[in-house]
Amino acid sequence: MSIVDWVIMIATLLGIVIYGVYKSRNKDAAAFIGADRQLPWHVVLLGIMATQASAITFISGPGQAFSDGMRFLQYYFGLPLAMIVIAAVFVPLYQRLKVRTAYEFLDERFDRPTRIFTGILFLLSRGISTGMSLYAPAIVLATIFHWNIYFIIVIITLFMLLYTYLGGAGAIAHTQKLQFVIILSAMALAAYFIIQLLPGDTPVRDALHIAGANNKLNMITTGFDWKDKYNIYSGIIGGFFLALSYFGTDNSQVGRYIGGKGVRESRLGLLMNGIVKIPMQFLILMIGILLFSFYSLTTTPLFFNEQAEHKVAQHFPEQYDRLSATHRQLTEQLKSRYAVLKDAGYDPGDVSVYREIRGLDSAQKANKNEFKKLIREHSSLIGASDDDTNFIFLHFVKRYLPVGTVGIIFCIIFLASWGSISAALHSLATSTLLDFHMQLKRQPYSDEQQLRWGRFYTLFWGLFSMVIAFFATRMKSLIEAVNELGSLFYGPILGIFLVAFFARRVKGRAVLAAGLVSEIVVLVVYWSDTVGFLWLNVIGSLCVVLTGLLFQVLFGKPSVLPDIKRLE
Amino acid sequence: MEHKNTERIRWKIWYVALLIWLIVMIICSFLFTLKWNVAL
Repeated sequence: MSIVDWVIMIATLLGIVIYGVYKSRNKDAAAFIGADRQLPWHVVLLGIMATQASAITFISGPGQAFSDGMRFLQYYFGLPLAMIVIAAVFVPLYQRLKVRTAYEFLDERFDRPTRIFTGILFLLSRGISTGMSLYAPAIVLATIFHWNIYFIIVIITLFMLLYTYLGGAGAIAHTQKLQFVIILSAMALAAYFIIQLLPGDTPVRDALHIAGANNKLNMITTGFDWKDKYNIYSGIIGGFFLALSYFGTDNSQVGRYIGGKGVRESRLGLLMNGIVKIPMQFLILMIGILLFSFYSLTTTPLFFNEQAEHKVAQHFPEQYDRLSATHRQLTEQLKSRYAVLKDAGYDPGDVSVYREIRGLDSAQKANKNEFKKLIREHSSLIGASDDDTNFIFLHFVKRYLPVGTVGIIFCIIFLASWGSISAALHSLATSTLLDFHMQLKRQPYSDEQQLRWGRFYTLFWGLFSMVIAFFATRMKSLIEAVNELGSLFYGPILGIFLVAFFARRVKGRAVLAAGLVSEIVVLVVYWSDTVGFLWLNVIGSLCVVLTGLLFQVLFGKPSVLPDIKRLE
Repeated sequence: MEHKNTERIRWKIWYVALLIWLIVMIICSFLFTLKWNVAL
């Protein structure tokens, strides 16, 4: 990176931190925990979006489309449906009861053990996954710039902790607003440059034809397979349950919209999220599609993690030269077929050329797989993952973007990390304080004591995430599993909330037992590896509802109908 | 009371609008796939 890029990056990052600290002045416990319930809908919206979008969303999203096409978009089809249910059912209750964490509601509806059990599931999954979302961008930056990964993890955490520790919910909401505007502008800038840099003034239409010829524009896939991660069915059904659980019951999201100024602002923030999410993801994935066409028409590297490629070349020169030569040859052949397609006006009836392209693409993939196998077999020597998805977008940024824009794009890695991690740490801290610590105290805490403990737990979870991220550097094989960790817990958590809202007869003991049984069921299904991870959310939540009803009928005492009316 | 009902109807309109928006998004995605993606 040039000095100009460095200056732009550091100035932007410091600006955000100073702004966050400035917004942290004169805070009391209520403001620290829930932003005084004063946020307008647009701040709620940007908070929700910035919390969900981690650094990996922006660097891995284009890479995902590059490698697997647009079908990842289907993952978001269930989200607007979930926004409707949350806005209609969850928000009015949360706001009327003035709960400060999602699990406080369970105490009102059921009992304290259910609140604590659900809180534990949340702290477990969110605590570990926050560490992972700290590790994921750090490893990419460490590889690209040859920086020390521990140093990057510490830098990302400390600067973000500064304003999260001081200002809590309010500082997070206001910095997220700025962060997200910068991130979206930077992504738009990147898209503009990719289009400008398409070789030989290739129009976007031709770029889309090339991607389509390689089955990359597969936005809807209708073939059903339980193990398939992304198709229209798992997207709508599994995606709905995942979004319902994540936005409706995960304290990192609930904490964002209960800070809204009343039901109206919280609802508008959520519904707007339902409107903008799919188009936004479409545009992020489209960057990957344009990149695919850009590299197809110039030169696709054999492997986008250049450091790993150099190491393979250094240690296995013969294999590397062979694989590299085959890759170059196949790339040239593909380019010539694209020229044929262009001359024929991209006629879809000309099936033979398309078949040739698919054949060459498969050969190129097989060649790359051989290269990846080499990395896997000598992982201790090469010291890198065989997955280069996260490096695709940044490879382009580093190689092709003009001075000034590179700094801004690398900035978004830090900003997106801060946006999602600060909200996660804050939600972990408030949940630990309110759902555990204060439940064990006989005497209520004063405002000042709550603020002090809230800050202490923010610091604690920040350090905890840092330790998890440090461990992740030593246990690379576990990363894939931990990425899907959320889905192991989300289903049962959502099930407990669904029972709370809709199955009024079911009491605390029945739902707690149902939660435990369902958690075991989800873990068994996960280890048996029979379904794609999105389905785990459906299985977990339905299991709690059904077993909860069953347990109540079998073992519950017949009693007066609780409680939801009273709560309303 | 009347104000409450108007408010309720207003939110219902929002929910239906979002539902229609989702359906439009899915149909557009489907048409986009048909137009640009070459299935062999």
